[in-house]
Amino acid sequence: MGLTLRSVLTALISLVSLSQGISLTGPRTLLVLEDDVKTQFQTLISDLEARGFTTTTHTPKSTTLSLFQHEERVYDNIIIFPTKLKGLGPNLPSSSFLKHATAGGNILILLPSSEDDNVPAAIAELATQVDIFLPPKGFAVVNHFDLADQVEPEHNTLLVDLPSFQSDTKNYFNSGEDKAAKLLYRGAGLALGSSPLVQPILKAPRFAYSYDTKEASSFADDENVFSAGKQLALVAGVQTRNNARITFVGGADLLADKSFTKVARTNQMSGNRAFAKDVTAWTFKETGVLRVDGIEHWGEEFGQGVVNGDVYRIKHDVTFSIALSEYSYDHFQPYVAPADDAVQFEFTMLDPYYRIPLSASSSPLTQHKNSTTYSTTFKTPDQHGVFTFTVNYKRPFLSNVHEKRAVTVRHFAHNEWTRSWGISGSWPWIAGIWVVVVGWIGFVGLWLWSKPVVAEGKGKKKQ
Amino acid sequence: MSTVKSILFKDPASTESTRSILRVVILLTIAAAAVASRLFSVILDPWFNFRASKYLVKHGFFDFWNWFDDRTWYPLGRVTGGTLYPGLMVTSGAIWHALRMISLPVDIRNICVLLAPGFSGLTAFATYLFTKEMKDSGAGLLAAAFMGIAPGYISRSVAGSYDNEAIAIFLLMFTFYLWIKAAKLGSAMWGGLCALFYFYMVSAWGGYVFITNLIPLHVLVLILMGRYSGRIYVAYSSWYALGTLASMQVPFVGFLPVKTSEHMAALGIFGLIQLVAFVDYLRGQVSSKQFNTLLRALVILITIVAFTGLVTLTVTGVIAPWSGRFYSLWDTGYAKIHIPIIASVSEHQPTAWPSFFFDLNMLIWLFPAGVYLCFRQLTDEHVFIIVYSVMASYFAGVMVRLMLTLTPIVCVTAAITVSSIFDTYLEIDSPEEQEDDSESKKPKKEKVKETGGFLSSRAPYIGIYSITSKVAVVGAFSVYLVLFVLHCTWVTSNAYSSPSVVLASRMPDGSQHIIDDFREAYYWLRKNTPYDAKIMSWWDYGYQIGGMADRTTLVDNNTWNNTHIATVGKAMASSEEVSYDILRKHEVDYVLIIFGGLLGYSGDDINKFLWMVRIAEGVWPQEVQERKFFTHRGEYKVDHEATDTMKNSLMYKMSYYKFPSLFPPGQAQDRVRGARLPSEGPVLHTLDEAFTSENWIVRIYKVKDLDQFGRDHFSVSAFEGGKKKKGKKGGMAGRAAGKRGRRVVRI
Repeated sequence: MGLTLRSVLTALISLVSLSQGISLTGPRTLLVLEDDVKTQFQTLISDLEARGFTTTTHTPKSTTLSLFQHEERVYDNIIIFPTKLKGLGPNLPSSSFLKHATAGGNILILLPSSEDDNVPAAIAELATQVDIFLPPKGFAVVNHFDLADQVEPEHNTLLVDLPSFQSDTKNYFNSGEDKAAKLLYRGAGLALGSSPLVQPILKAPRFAYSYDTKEASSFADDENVFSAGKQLALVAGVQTRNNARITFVGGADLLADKSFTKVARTNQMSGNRAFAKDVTAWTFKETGVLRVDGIEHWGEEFGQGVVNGDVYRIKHDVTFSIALSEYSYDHFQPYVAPADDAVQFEFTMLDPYYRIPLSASSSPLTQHKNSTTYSTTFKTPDQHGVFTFTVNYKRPFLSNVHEKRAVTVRHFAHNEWTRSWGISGSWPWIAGIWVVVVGWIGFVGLWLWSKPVVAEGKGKKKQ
Repeated sequence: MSTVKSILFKDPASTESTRSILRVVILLTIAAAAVASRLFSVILDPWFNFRASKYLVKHGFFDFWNWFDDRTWYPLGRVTGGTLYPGLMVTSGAIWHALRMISLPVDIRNICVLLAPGFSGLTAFATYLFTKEMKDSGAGLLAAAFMGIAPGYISRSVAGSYDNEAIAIFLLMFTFYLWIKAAKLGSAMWGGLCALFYFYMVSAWGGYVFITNLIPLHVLVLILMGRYSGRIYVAYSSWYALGTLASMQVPFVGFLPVKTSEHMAALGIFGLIQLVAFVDYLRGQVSSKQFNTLLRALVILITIVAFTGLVTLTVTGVIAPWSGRFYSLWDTGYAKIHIPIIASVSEHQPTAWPSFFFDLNMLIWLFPAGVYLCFRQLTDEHVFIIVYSVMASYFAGVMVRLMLTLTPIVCVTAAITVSSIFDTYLEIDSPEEQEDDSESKKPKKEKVKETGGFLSSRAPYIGIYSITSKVAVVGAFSVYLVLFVLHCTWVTSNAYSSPSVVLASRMPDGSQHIIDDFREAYYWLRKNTPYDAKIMSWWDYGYQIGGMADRTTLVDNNTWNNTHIATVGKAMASSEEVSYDILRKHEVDYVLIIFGGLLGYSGDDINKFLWMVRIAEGVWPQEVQERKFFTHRGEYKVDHEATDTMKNSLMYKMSYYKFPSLFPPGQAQDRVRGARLPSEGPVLHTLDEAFTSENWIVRIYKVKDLDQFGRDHFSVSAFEGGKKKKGKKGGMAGRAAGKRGRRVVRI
């Protein structure tokens, strides 16, 4: 069954990959924008279309727009461009976005770059629901120490390095040629809550801060600074529990045509266009999607003849392996965990009895094309019950892998223990039993065969 | 008629054969009556036993022995072979195989249903044999008849009541019969047979401890009365040695007979009887003066050795201390304080006085008379009856459940009484009555005068001279017997044949209305939930869910893991925030509760709730406190006076969720507790109502999944309810509040 499913999937994927690279969610993309805005994002939209996305355009107030038809998602991806309007139309309340994401669709939200523009109420509500906090109108990020352009007086356009993460996190956001390229950014920035589902993609430079431009005072103090430094996110991604992705871009100009130019100060091309590709690719699930190609577990007691059986026995060696592959634009490739990260495995009954890092196996039981097989061997604990083989691999920017296989770990059956004579400590007792048996038989024999001594005088006394 | 009379009384030889034919016929009739009276309604009840039997029949004995049941006690699973008394299942399995062998393929279910009634017939026979040893076959037949229809026994053996007690009472009586036989004859063979049936009993019911202690007690009393004899020695030694070795072969029992205190009496008496035998032997060997010195020295020495030995073994832990269940037998308040899980079972409550009369009717007042009659004769076996009576009456007073062990001896003694009365009053001057069919027809025959009587004629005959008094007494007793039969029939059909899963009530017009909510709900579970769904409920319903809905349960009727039960109690007693984590951790998909408020079904979970709280408090005294569930006046309330802890508990919320919406505003009424509920019902955030049965008795809730967006369920409901997320700055909160971003430091 698994095999047929997999072959159907491969066929499907190979069919799809004939065209361009394509999102795993699907190509149907909704652009929510007014016509005058569209001209600012020509390159972004054409780049998307070149990657195989089909776009549909609606204005925010459109009355014909509907995200759902017959309770089915109409679009796979939504991009909400900044609007001059006060709010989005009645067909786009915040709950419709939540519903879209719950149904597995992705959303890319571009917030206005200008501090004079409104953030629609529906977007702000959506942000609050996913633990992202937007500053009120009038806020802007500023950095006085690393100016993009000497001319600009407010220092509102920032030069930001391409994202870099800790060594245990995969970086999907610097795929451009020039790793040293700078990004041009202009916008208000985002503050993130503590939800583990939210990850900052692009953080503000150390000396940048977001402040209220409408405030009369010429300096920023603790009261009118929204957030600052590395705690201020410029781009943040949310991955819901069902792996739908919502990305907030703090300033739409980051992806606009006007940023795909040379940086005035360095006279180098900005990295914005490549970054735009990375952000859309991640949001629309062209990158960072893991697939489990197969899970196998087998026990020493049955050998490799019984794979994925239901029953194991306590205190026996069990091998567990999982094959993982990763989607990259148009194909699956073996997933290689970052150097400082490990795919962990748990053997759990209420609490984990084992938590073991899995290592890439050189000779997997079943060969999977385009995937890495991680495996480990361990001894089942001395505890019977219903255990689960669990791989709970949830990492920033990677789709969740939460695989569970419940198996029964049973006790020793009555005939599986060592027999009494196999235990050297029992030999004296066994010897004792046989001595008594033989002695008793001997005694009875002796009693029966020995002739009673006739001693009438004494014999009468008793009985 | 006259020919019958001549056959009956003229010729002793032909009389004897007629009598034995009559006895057989009467016994068969009694057995038939016993079986028939248990067939009022048929519902298979302890589903676990049935499931186990099915497994046994399907997979064979060895697989059954090694059976690891992963569908109960989730996620611990149950090593079933080592944690049950297999006697019942093996019995029905053997019957199933035997019937197949004679080409009668019967469904195992039918065997399970009819096993208890079938064995009740055998119990009647065993009682006959036992009583016959005590008095005569007339009393035996009476005892068999009593035993066949006594409600105290029927309560545990109606058709479909497929529990250990179904065969255990037969084994109990038969083992006692064999013991009496062995003690009477001093025969190692009977002692061995007794051990064999003792082994069967051990494999069938935990109540075997009763035998393990009663027989040694009998022997001890005999020794103390100076009635030691070689017969007792042979009987006891052969029973104890063989019986103990055999009982240790049951995996569940294992080494308990040599380790736990409950079994020490038997071991101690075994030692004592060896010493007594040795002393007895010495008495014959040495002169009496030397013997006295020797005896004194021996007694002191042995006392010291035995005492120090016992103390050392108990202190070092070789002999396990008395178990809690045992303590609760002596101190009825003990369980309530220390082991609420035992006290929470209604069967473990002290018996109410009316239930003695309810279960035993007139036998209960004949019982002391029978014991008195035993004192008058006082042979070894009568001592047994006295010891049994004293012990069983005490235990029956302590626990309702143990009424079952009292019933046989009450039947026996009552039969002895009635039979003695008939012996006395059914004879006119010269004793000659036959009394094996001493039923109500008797008075007609008493006119017959014959000479050369052959029965129960004590040498100096002191009879009743007045015919009137004879007729009066005999007539009165006949009426009593008829009344007894009527009472038994009534009790059986009304009280003990209503299965717990189907409730019957009367409509205003007197017609019967069947309330079938349980089966409705279990069927819903079976059809609408995935096969591996985990259902959490209080343990009372564990077997039923496992059996009728075929779903995995967290705890069931036989869960020993107190912590596991307490976990369920804690989940029910805590607020949603706490419970949700417990539910998630145990991967619970559905929560099932019983709610009787709409119908007035008093056995519901709110009434059991305090036990859940107590059990949970025993394990987490800091987190669950019984006191907080009472109002400051110490009342257990569910209406607007209920404490916040009570109102926030998951159980309360699940019970009354949407309940007030059934009534006009402010009129919501809980019919069990007679409480008027607040018009605003509780709000559930982490559970969804999945199913509520017709009469709201069973309510099933689905545990919500984690939120897709990482919110907690309270803010989800708040958002969906149209409210803004409170207490968080930023976003729409306006300029004044939103200047500072949310200062959560992320690394």
